[in-house]
Amino acid sequence: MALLNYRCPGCDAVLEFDSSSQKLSCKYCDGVFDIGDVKKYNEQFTDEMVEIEEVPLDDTESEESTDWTDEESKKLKAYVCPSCAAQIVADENTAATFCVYCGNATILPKQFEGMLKPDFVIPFKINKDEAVKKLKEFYKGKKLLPDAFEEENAIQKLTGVYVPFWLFDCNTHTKAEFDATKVKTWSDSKYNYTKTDRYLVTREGDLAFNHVPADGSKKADDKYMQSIEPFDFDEMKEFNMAYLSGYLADKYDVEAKDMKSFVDSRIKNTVNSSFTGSVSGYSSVRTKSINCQIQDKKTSYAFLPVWMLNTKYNDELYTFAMNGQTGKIAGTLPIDKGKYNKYLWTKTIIVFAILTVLYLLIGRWLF
Amino acid sequence: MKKFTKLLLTSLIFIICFSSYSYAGSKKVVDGQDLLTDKQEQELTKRINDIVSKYETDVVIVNMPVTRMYIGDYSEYTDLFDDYSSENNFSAYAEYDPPATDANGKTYKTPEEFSDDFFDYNNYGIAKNGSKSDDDKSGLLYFVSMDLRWYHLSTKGEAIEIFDDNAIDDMGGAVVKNLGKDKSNSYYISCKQVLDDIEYILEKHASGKTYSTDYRLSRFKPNIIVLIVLFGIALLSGYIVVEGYKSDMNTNLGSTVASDYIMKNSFKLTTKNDTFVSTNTAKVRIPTDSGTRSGGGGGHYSSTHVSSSGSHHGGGGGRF
Repeated sequence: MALLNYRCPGCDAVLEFDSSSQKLSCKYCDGVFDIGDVKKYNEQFTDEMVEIEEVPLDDTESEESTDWTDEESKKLKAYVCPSCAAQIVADENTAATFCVYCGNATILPKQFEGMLKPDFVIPFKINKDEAVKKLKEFYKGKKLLPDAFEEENAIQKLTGVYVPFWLFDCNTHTKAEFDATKVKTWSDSKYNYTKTDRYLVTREGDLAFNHVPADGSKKADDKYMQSIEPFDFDEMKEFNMAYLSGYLADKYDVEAKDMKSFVDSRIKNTVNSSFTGSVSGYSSVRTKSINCQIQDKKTSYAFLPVWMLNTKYNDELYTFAMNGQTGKIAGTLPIDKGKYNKYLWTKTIIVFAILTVLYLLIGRWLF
Repeated sequence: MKKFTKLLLTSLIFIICFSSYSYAGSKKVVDGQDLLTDKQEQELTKRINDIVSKYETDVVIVNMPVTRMYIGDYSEYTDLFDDYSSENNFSAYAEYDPPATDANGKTYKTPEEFSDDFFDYNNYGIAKNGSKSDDDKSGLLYFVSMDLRWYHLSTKGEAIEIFDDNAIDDMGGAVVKNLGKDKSNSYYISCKQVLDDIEYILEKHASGKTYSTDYRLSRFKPNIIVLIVLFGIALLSGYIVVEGYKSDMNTNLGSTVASDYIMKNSFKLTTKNDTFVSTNTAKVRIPTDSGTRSGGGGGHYSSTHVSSSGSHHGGGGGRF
């Protein structure tokens, strides 16, 4: 197993992907380089790269002596950092990481070989500073957030992660039947009339979907990953390992077929609402049957950018995920019970006061 | 000399008459059915005197048994009816039971006639600016006959204008409500309420406010059940608002649709049939509104009539 660093053509330091310029940049000499150029420059080191071998897991260096269980040690792998020779511990799925000692961005090319090679990547568009700012904005204006939450928040622990996703493309063919009614009412001097016309509405047609994403990592929570959608796939690029430099990345550990039924249900729900929406001009519409067939399914493998934050408050873990492309945030904030009660009772008292004044005014006027 | 004697006699009669007027008009509470204690009578009289001196509008409270309302029968009340002339022959119509003429052939006065006459012939009313006209004597008389279960509010002079039809109705509403309770002191309570209303309306009048157009009497008392319901509504709305804040705290909602990933212009309908199946028309009779709604007297208006003495009165009354 080998490690890969992209080296700066200027000063030989390790380059990281810069989301604002969408290029590789050097922290040391401030150089900014095109991904293609850097790749070419780094090809000369290919031999050198191979030399860095996977080493047996060693816990003697750690001050707190950790005893790895068998299961854990099976999943964990250790590498020697090409920059400082320290041990880099990664799990079996790790595809990109840093050296905890020297901070060097490190990529494990073996995780992208053969069937594992991703087809696409959406590069990070929001850098860490912007992500921190967006998270702070997210906290702001949340009326029930405990005051101490943000202070105790290890917001700087925000980590950029490329999450493996399966993208599903498909066509659908659908036959649908609806019972629909048109209701007209009118009246003359003696009677009210209600005229109900019944219709049988049939619809048949096609609808195609592009890149319906499904989380391919067990580590990333499916619900969080759905909540930060949508991603803009127009900005998706051919996969290149260089985009991963400076971020964490894991290869997929959930097979595409395992996500199929979930993706199918999302697609069918959308087909249902599209076909129901095509029945218009009626007073009421009831679905009799919808038969949707999903055809020409194609699956591709992509790395999508996500900022993750795990933080503790009152001994409880709070997880936030942010779309690294759009900045959309998913998470559940803690609720301050005192604030909840304060707002509940102040609102109640204000509304009660207004209602009582109205009641007294109207009452005095009417009675 | 004969002429002088005639003149002297006339002026003497005039003086006697005048003195009897001032005596009669000074009794503000006439408790013919003995419904009030002496103390209550004193209290009411004191309040009336305060109102009279403050607003220059006379106020009289009278209750009388129906047996005292015969035409021509005022023998026991000569002190009050001393100018009550027997030549007055009132029309015998009555708005109430018992009949206008009883078995003995005696004719009753209606409560309105009785109230108006009682006011006129006992010389109640205060005329402002030294006016000598009888119609300028302003005042209000609250009459009740317990055995008839009838009340009447009679106004005269400026009071006709101040206490318009709506004011009489509103005050009468309270009278009916109070007397309808049939408690031992309900008559006293109704008198106090009438005085409260009179004072309130006179006070408003003094500050330039006109009844009906500017304000109405309010009998409104906040209902505890309504307040509890309002509190419930307030609590519910507070809960909805705070639950809204709470839902802001969670943006981890997942997704069950894929509408963001529909390929542009890929929605193509190959079949689009809307087939008519059946029709049905239901016919429902419109319920007719049988009850008529009264207008409820929007503007300020005082209806008047002429009493037996020829002076103008306003007011109104009814059963309780």
